Amino acid sequence: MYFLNRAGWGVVGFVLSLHCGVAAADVVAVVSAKSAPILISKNQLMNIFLGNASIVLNGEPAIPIDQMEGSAVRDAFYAKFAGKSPAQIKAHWSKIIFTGRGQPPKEVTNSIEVKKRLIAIPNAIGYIEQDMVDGSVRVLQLE
Amino acid sequence: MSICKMYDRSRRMLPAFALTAVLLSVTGAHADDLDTPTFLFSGFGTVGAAHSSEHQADYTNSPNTRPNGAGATRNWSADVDSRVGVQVIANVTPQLSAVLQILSQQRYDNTYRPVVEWANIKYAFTPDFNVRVGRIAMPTFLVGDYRNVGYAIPWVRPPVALYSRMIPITTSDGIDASYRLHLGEVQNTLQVSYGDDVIRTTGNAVPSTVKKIMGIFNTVEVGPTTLRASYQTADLTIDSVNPFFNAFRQFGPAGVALADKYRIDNRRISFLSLGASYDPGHWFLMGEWGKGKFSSFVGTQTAWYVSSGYRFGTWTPYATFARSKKLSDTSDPGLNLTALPPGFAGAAAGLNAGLNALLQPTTGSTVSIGTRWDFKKNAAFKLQYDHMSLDPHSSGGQINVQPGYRPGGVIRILSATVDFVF
Repeated sequence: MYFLNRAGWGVVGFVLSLHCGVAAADVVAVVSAKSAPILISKNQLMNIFLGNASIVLNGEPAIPIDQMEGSAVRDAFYAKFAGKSPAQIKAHWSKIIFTGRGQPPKEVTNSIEVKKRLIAIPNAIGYIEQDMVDGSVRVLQLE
Repeated sequence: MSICKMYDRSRRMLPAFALTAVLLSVTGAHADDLDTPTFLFSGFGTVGAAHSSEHQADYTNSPNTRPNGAGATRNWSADVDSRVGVQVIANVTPQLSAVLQILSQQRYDNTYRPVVEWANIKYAFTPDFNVRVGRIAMPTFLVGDYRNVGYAIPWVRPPVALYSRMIPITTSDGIDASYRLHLGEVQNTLQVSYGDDVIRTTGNAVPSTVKKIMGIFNTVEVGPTTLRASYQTADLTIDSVNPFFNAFRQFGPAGVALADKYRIDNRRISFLSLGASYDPGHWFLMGEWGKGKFSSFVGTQTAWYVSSGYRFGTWTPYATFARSKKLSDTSDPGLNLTALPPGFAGAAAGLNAGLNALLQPTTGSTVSIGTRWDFKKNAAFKLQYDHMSLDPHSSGGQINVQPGYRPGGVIRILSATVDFVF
């Protein structure tokens, strides 16, 4: 256990410093601007994106639109609203997929693509960087 | 000692054939690019090496279905944890889907011949209510139905005392239904299942059969908290021990009584488990308890564990404590040798020794510490050290026990794995 202790604690210090140094890019959850205002909780939002439960959005079950794995905005989204790292999200979906319980949301390449989908699909829900917000989207106010 | 375990999936390929038909019938593209894909191919695997401090027996992750492991056979064994699985999900309609999962890992016959782990057709009447028909992995434990997916679990392997030595049923060929209920922030999922299974064990030509597996599983999720309870019963037959117990029957009423007490022929078994986990994001705490009742030589056992880990960025060190206990007899005086003519006493003594070997406990307590390192976006490295303190006379579930082995004592296991998903 000598090796484990030494390597373990060295790495702990290193990773802690990394962990605390990175500020999450500001990310907001959005629906189409044409959508009626809705009020949901952080938990409900995460249930939609993690495939646990859905809500009704403009008369249809909400369809989550994810961004590419490894993108900064995606990592920031799950860190901010679920408190989970990319590896935890990946492990979550591995669990769901390999028990046949569901499949992850469709991914699009960037926030411009997210906004296009929101315009085309009234019950879509996505997330984009704060500075990508414009008149086409409505930022979700989370309880 | 439970003789039962892994199932010879290859013997029962029917669900796979039915599924292939469904997979092949899926055609046509969906109009909208946000629809779920028609096919979803994915896979998982673990490459591992384990070392045991015990040289007179083999440590393995599944005592009844593995022919060898780390210790007596090999100093470092890749067979304990290594495996690979591939899966395809076919979405026929938004309601109808099918899943086929093929798994390759060390089998009872020392091959890695792939077996069908999952093969079922699912119909979702609503997003919260679905029925599946085919082969289904049993969700007996918190990580029961994805126990093979190393990437999705915190440890090198789920606590062996509870996951591998308590209940032989890991899959069921039959039907199950799942209903999810949302009450504000509370989510309740009730699952019921019914089916059969066949278990191939090491060194036995005759497989064991499990019939009428009935299970009820309930999960309550509230934010980061998960509570789980499950109960299942089944009729178990371990034919491979029948010749042994039939030999007891040659010794009059006392022998017949012993055979009837300990054999497993269409015996009703039951298993109860309770589990809880709390995972707010940066750390987790979880624990499970289970009790198996097999009125036979397997007997009544309990096992539990608690485990906790903290996530430092990509590193997740963890510690686990596990304890198992046999509540039923761990020995039996057997046939009374003094009442027998000298010619029979020798044979009876042999049977008594065999019976006591079957009754030998596998119990003890285990402290495990380890760490997970998510070094790549789809791969994790794990290093784990297990310190097993065996109960007196316990084999700790080790196999390939050599003449020089002394039961009880301490076994130390060091394991390293790389888990991946694709």
